[in-house]
Amino acid sequence: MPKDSNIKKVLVIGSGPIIIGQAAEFDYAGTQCCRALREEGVEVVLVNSNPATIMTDKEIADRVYIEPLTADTVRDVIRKERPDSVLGTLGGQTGLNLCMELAEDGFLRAHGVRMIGTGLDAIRRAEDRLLFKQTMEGIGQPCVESVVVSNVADTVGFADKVGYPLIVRPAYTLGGTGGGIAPDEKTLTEITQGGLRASRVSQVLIEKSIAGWKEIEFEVIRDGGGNRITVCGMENIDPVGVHTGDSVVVAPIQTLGGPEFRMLRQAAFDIIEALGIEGGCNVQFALNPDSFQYAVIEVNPRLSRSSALASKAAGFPIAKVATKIALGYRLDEIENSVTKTTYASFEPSIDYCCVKIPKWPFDKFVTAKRTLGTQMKATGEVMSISPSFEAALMKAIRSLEQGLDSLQMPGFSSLTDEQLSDRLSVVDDKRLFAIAEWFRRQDLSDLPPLLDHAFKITQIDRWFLSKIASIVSMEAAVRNTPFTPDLLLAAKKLGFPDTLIARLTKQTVKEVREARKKHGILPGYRMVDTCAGEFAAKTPYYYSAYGVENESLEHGRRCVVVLGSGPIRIGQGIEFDYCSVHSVWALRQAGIETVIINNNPETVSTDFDVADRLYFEPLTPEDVLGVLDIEKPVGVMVQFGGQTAIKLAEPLDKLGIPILGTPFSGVDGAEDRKVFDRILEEHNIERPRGAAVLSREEALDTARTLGYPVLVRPSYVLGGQSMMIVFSDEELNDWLDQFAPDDGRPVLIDQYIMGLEVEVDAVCDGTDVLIPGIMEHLERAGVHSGDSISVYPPERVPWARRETLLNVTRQLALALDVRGLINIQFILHGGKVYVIEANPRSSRTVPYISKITGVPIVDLATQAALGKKLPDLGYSYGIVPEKRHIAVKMPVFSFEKLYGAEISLGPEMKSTGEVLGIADNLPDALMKAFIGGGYLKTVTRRVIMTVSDGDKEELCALARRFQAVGYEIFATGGTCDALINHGIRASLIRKIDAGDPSAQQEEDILSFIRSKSVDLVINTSTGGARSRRDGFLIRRLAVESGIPCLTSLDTAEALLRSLEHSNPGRLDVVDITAI
Amino acid sequence: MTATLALESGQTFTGELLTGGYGPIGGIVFDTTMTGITELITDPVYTGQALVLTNPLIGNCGVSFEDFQSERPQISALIVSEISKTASNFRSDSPFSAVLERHNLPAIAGVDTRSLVRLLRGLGSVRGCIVKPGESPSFGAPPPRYKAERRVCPAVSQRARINVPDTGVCKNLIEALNGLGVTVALYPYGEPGLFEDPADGYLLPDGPPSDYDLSVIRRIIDSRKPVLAVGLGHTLLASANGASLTELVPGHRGSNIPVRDLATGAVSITSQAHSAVVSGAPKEMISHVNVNDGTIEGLIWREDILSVQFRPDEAVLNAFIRKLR
Repeated sequence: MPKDSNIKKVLVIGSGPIIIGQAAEFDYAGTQCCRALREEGVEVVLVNSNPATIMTDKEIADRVYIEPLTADTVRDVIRKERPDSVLGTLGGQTGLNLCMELAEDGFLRAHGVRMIGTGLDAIRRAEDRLLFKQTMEGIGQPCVESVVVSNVADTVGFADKVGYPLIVRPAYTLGGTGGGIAPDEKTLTEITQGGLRASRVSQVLIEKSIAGWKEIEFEVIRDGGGNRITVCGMENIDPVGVHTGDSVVVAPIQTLGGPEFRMLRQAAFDIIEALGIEGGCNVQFALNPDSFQYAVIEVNPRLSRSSALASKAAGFPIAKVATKIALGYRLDEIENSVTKTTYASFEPSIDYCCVKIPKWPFDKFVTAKRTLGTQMKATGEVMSISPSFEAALMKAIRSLEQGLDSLQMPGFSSLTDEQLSDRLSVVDDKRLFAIAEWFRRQDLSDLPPLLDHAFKITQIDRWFLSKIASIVSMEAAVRNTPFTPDLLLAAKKLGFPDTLIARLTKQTVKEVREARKKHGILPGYRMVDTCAGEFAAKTPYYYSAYGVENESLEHGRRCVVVLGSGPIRIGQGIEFDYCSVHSVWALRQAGIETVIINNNPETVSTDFDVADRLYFEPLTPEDVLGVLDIEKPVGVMVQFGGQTAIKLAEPLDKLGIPILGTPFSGVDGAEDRKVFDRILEEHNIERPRGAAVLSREEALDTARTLGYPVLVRPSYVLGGQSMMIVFSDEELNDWLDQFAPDDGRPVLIDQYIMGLEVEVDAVCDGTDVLIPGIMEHLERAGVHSGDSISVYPPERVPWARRETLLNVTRQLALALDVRGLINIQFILHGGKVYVIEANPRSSRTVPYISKITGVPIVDLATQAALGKKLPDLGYSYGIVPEKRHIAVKMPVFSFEKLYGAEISLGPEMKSTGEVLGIADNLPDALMKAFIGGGYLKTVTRRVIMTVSDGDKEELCALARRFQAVGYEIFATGGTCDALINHGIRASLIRKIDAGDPSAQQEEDILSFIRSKSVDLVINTSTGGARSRRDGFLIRRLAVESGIPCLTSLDTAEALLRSLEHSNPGRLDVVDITAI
Repeated sequence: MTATLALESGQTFTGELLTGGYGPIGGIVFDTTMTGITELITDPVYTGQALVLTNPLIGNCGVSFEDFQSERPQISALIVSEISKTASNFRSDSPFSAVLERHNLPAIAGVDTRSLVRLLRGLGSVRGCIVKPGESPSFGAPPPRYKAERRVCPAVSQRARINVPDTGVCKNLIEALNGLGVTVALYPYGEPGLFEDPADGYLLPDGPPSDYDLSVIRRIIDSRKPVLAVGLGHTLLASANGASLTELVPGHRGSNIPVRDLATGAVSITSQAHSAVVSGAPKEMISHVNVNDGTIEGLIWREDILSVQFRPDEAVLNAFIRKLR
């Protein structure tokens, strides 16, 4: 069937902000989808609240609405744009749910909008727990024994029947939100309550636990004619019980024999046939490791994280093919874009092994529970490719950028055997390393009994365990036997980096590298071609391997390598992928061949047709150098891939590799406090005073001299980790007890200036600078810039100060020899401009400022890095005139997914994503941002206030305004007194009972929150251990109960402004391509 | 033991000889199938051929004897990247390499199989030899012939019986037919019983290419009984009908090959292992074509003679069953 010619204008719904369970994969899918639609001459209308995405570029869609993802907004867009069709299966669960809502209430039909791709009935059959179960029973596909409930009481009977443990899965949620494993009735009740809350339809599935079975996934595609293929089968190394998003996953499937494999593949086909899928679909199975018994775990009738992984693992563009199917094409009519000689109906054959490892945020949330279960906790992931499983695993570990280059985890070698043995049964992010350490202590000459033992404890298939043992054996061989070229090659084939070999053989990394070069032990680059070499493929997508033919031949052409940004993590999100991709596009437009190196399977940058050549590799000096040795680029772009890329500037510079744009000296100048201070001094630029201290006495002295409050942090961390504002000697002592480094490295103490924080992204061409826009933070200084509400254009920056900002930016950029981007953060206080920090690289605000101002910032920066001057590119120096529209960037958090994480905002960044609100006035822009970020609840119009003594005065003014807009105020002891003293009506609620907080009898603040009878909690942290603990409990409970919790009065003030001056029912949608 | 795989075309590859001995290994072919390797190496279609596997990680599940497609491994040698020492599967009867060892089959691992495949895809049929490093190869050994069987595989509740000249029938096909109520009787090619014993129809199965007496095929056609021809049987039937054959380079060997049923337009993913394809058959007889290269994948020679190049799926088997009395 050819394309359906009735489809002329399609609405594509994105997935919104990056949160745990919904990351960059949907930008990848959505972007590919939009490109596929436009390739077919279809007009694309896009809605997504996430400004950091590539899909919201005007180059990708014809009409772009960066608006809150609510049914109301989408209705407005449909009324305005009148699309004939909507494609809802590419925007994750968020997009799918919205589509369902509009379809079910008849809005789509009433407006003549057709759902294309997988239809409403199919989605319902897959998503509705009961319908799904019935459908599966109808075709004889076994499901796990389960019951669907909509209240807690109904769970008990089922529990009595099948026994504990039980698994709770809420309907229509993503990333397992609100689910969990219940070992007993008490936990079952708790999780069920949470799950019912999380579910859009207040429905949860209680199912018998089959923890320990193998978890197998199939990515399948079916077209409108019923043709179907398997793109890729994947196997979770962690057995059932760990969310697939938190599992280490391998592709293709490794531990199934032919009959089991064919059985599950056929089952997947039967399932998508019964559901009536038209597009991509993910089917998850649990398979008993000791029999052919299996169960269907779940089906995702849409593009998913797994489909992004399968796309990259197999080299098969699932989103593109799914889009073409939605337009009416059949699989055998869609060309395979890799081989160009086969069709999409050709199942990929894979001649390598891919390993995915999740990236968890536990380094940011030290108090969060690290154990893994049915609730996903990872923010991102890495993938690696190699002919051997061992090397793929080792490469993936390197790609995670967690300071590890192997299965050696510092600290594990000092565990006692007993402690280690206990660790084996703990399912957390460190388990692989614990298993490796356990093997290290065994005699590996008789492996089978060891595998049996480890399998009994971990339920990880013996084959995977044997591979970990194989890595450990190689560590011993390298350490204990003479260093020969054969051994070196063998170690490299297992993915051992030079750093590890150097450590094991007590050589320097340079010596190992030279030994490799001397013996010709160099990586070869193999092509990912979907056909295992059967045909000559056209698309250059490579991975490294040792002892293999090199297929990426030296070409002698001018090319530039762009370094990507690795896994999505807190502090380094999808914005940097946006920047990397735009740099590639700018280079291609300038007629320069491009090469990208990255390891994140979720992103657009690792789509094989973005750059001229893609290398799927870890971003370490050795792995990057391997590529550079082959590509011999004229230079490397390090300024667009976030910290990951820029930290490679030093090793590359030392080896004489040309860095394009800002030279390493400039990068170093911004990072090295001494150099930076000197530059500031030379130019009479102010910065908060501070010092590096080495002892407690020195610390207390310095703090007292500077005057409290002071900002304190260890000198060696990035992204504000462990950074804190302390107000007294006592708090400083507390901090030092907890975080002071014991390795002699200094602690930095800075004056804390409570001023207005302002941020600037600028492009410098070596002559002067261009500032596309100045951003102002609504929260006062002290909240990490990534967690602040950021407003463009600034509201409180006087014109005279803007001139100063421009001058300082120019001075700094020129002093650091910036060619390309620089991001500077300022504090405005007492008529002065202070510089907090400068980063000569892209920042997380670049995408949104580019979109709202229309200045192609990355494009200009790339050209500047190549030596072009801004006037020659059609831009003049200075600050670009302000736009009429106001844009508010609002951080979005994933706290509810991270049990035990502290949500209070501070200098350490905690948000996982962002939304944008655009309007022609600030209150409306704020309102849109609050709605988009999920902060606006207007059910009960009740607010709980409990703030520190220092904030009470300020709170009273806000409370009065809350009252004026119709809120009923509840407050705890001191806060309540203060409010009443100021003549504000407030009801007292009891603080948390002393002792066990779960044992309270009467209604206190916790039970009040738990009963969901409030819309908002305003809580600022206070001194003193007791109230800090109480505050923590209040905040956690609010987050876990789905109640917005604000921890800064500035945020509360912003919310008030929108409530006072904006009507959420009367907001106009703005097409950003038209502003 | 380090070993060299030498090709008749001059190239060499280094690896490690895990089992079996040095010497000529016959023609080398590659297969892109990823799972079910035990089935592949025991499939009679690969009799006497040296098999390169594109999947680099082989033998992870060991070998389960019930997966054998014939009595023994039929390949002449196995060329792979890695064979797992650990056999991890509840059905595993033996580690993978132990089976090869038992049959004294040469298996060479550690080979850059992708490089070899990239070479083979342009070479067509090429012979190989495994030698000690530095020694010179010989390529002469004639491939061993498939040993046909004589036995009856009864269906539990028999609806029909078919006779089969055993050119290399594999167990999965027999079992699939048995499952549909068809008793399968095997005879060495051309044996009188084939015609004398009662039969409701015939199966011309797949198998290694060989010079067969086409008069046997003509006799089967002339019996006016339903025929299903598969793989080699498909090409023999075509030859007996005077159609010409073409050798593909590199051939279709894998489990991911899309085939379009011209009657319905439906595309199914099939499994195949062959180089020869039928060319120049009358257009109106073509029932299936390859989606990628358009080659003929199925022919209907007579309303009750179905002929497919691929391992038949349920749809083809059911169509055949309907023709049987």
